[in-house]
Amino acid sequence: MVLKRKSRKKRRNDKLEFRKPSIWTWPRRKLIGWLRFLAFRRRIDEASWKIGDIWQKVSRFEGREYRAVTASGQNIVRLWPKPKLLLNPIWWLAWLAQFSWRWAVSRSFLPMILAVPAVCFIGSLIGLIATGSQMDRARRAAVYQRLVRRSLDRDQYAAAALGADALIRIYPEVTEHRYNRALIHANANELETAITLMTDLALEEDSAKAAMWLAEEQAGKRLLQDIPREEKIAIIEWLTLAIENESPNTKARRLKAEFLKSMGDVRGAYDAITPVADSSLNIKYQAFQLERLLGEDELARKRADYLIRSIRSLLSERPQNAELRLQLASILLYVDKDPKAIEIIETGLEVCPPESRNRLESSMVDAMVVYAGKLGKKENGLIPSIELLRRAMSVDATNRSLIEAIVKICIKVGENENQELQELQKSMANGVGSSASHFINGTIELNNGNVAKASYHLEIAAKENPNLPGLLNNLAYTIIQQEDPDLERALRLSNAAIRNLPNHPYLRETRGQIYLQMEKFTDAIADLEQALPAMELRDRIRPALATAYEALGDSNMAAMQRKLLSEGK
Amino acid sequence: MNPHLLKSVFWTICLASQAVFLWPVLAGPTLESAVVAIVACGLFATHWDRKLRFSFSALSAPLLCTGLSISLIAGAMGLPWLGSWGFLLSVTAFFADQSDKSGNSMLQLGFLFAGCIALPAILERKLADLTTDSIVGTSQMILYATGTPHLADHTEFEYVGKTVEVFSSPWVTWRLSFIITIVYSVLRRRRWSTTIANMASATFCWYSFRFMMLTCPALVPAMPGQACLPVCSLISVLLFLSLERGVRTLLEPVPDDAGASKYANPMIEIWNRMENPAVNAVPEQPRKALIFSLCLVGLLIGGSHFISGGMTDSSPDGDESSQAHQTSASVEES
Repeated sequence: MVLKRKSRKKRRNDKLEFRKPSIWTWPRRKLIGWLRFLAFRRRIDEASWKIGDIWQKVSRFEGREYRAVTASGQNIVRLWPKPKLLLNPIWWLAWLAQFSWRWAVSRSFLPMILAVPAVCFIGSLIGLIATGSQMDRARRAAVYQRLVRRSLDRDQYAAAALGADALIRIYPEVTEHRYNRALIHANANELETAITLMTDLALEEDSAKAAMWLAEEQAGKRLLQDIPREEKIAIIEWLTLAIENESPNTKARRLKAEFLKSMGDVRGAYDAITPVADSSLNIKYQAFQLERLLGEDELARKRADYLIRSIRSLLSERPQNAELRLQLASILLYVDKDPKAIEIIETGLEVCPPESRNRLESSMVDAMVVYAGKLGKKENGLIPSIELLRRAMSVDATNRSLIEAIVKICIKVGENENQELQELQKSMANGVGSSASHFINGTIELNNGNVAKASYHLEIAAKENPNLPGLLNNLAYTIIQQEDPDLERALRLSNAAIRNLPNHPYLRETRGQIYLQMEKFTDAIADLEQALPAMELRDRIRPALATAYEALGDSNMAAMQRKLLSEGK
Repeated sequence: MNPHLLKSVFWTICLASQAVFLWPVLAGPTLESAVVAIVACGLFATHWDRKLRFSFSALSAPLLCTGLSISLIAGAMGLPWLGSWGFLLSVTAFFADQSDKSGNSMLQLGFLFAGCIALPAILERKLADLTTDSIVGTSQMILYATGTPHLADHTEFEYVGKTVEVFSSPWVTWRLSFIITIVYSVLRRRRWSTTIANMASATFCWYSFRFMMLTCPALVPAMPGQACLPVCSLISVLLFLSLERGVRTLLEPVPDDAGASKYANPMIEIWNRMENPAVNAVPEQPRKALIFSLCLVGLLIGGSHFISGGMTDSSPDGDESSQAHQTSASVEES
């Protein structure tokens, strides 16, 4: 064998291999080894080996036998699927389909009949819940609105309250439902709760309807004159709130005007009704009356013309309407068509229903008294005036204004020496009854200065007819004319007269005089100032006012009153 | 040493040591819980084949180990409520082990104790509110759908001329229905899957009972007030029986016929094994189950220490927890 010398290159490598390693070789090689161990590639290699092991283990299941159950209930031997089938998603789907099919066809349906009630129950429950959840607020509210209506028709307030409460829950933002709830409380005689709810609504929610209800509730079914002043003020406040919260709110304005008028604030009443004065015939009529009271004749006449036309046309359609007839008569009286007014009422007595007869008769007498008063002021008008009053006596001899008119005319006739008139006056005085006769005689005696005789007649008349304000006033005046007068009794009589006719200047003047004698100067001034519109009384009022002011130490006002008296104002 | 004696000692120590957690969290009066325990013992006595087992099967081993681990964690952290659930799992494992292979399962007897355990007060309150909300909502939907006027809130239902109070603490009746369902399932020898479905059905029936009690006076105005309770109870029971029939039919095994393929369908296999484990019982492998269970215990304890941190020092039930810890440790050693 021939030994061949190694190449130069190989020889150099051998030398390198046998070279002594440096001191850093070992740690470097260890470090590289650890890095390799931790290297990602190495770990993947290891993981793949492990997966391979698992795969081999799973593969052992292939073909493994196990017991299964057939459709007939027998145990059979089946083979476990191969691993490659287990990992194939297509096979998963196939198995799922097979399982579903076999599950469905292998159910025993006969025992399922017993499960039918449960299925029906669940089905109906789901159906009801689905239907209920699809009902919106409006449909739910409709159920309760029907309930409220039906219950109120049948006076079933508990059911109505339930419906109203539910509506409030469905629509908490709608104040109408809360208002209805309060109304139901009121109908169910739970007035305090109703008032509390309405007050909350009116004050916090600015509900005009609630304020209006509160005003009407406070007023009740009482007549205006029966309501105390403090209550009237409260009612007017509610009405003001109702007007502020809802525009124009015609009803509230009308009511407010009526209340203000009853309290003597005619200007306030007119201001309240002016914005809606043209909205309806009734309000136009109300505005007309206020304009009359305020002395706005031009406005009143303009409105009267329109009202006469409108009411006439309405009356042609509804001749039996007594209210319209009375309104028309009142307007005709104002425009000095008194005979027409009397005729309108007289026709009403024939065509209107019997329940309005009393009102028509009373109004007819009033119209006749007014007309008689106008006739009496004319020259040679006393006889027709007396004739008219006699005619009025045939309608209603007990009418208060008629008796007072008769008294007035009798006094006038007493000053006249005409024989025919005297006869007529006597026959008329005889026709009015003993009480009115004493009233007439007492007043005549009082005017003639016979205080004792006047007192005798008036005392008798007052016992028989204690509610006649003119009579009470005259009696009070007679008492203060006496020596050592019973001022307390005079004041009681005067107060009773004023209660019946609150704003009458004659009655105020009498009470002012009584207060003056009782040295209640402030009260006296208040009453006398209210009597000042009566021009014919000013000769008596001014000196009394001057005395009162002087007694109170207000010499300027006293001097001014005397100055006005001297100027004839 | 007698193996039966060893098994008896093991189960006694294991269950008795964990039962201490049950005491502070008993729901309702003690008598009620005692009745449940007596019923459970009675049912066990009548269904047991008098062979004490400690098979450590694939079902019982995880249950027991999880139960013990939870008890250990609860002892360490001073949480009796958690410990009671550990006890529940251990009891379930015990009953699962005592079931024979002829289909006589007693696993669900363990569930019976769940009816005795109270939830934490906050959770119970929240659940009660949620349930009441749900029942009131459902009742309202039904009443709206039938156009019945009503006024409902969380305390009462108001109808025309009638008022029905909403029961504010629903758990008493729910626990009762739960316990009755389990007793029924054991007596009728239902499988655990059917028992769980029955429990769900019972909950639905209880729910139906609640809203029927609320809506009945309005929907059937002619019915007197006193008749509502018995009628609704009867309907609920019938509904449960009907549902149970349906559930049983739906959970029946699926026959695995030999078809085109010679291989089995694994889904059918899993389904049938779930419903009837006796059919395709897997051979028990105690060694593997023990290893798996010990791993599980280690994992749970480690996890709990990691989560709790230094909480063990400040636990209010320190004595009790240390006692439970020692007990569990001795079980592991054995």
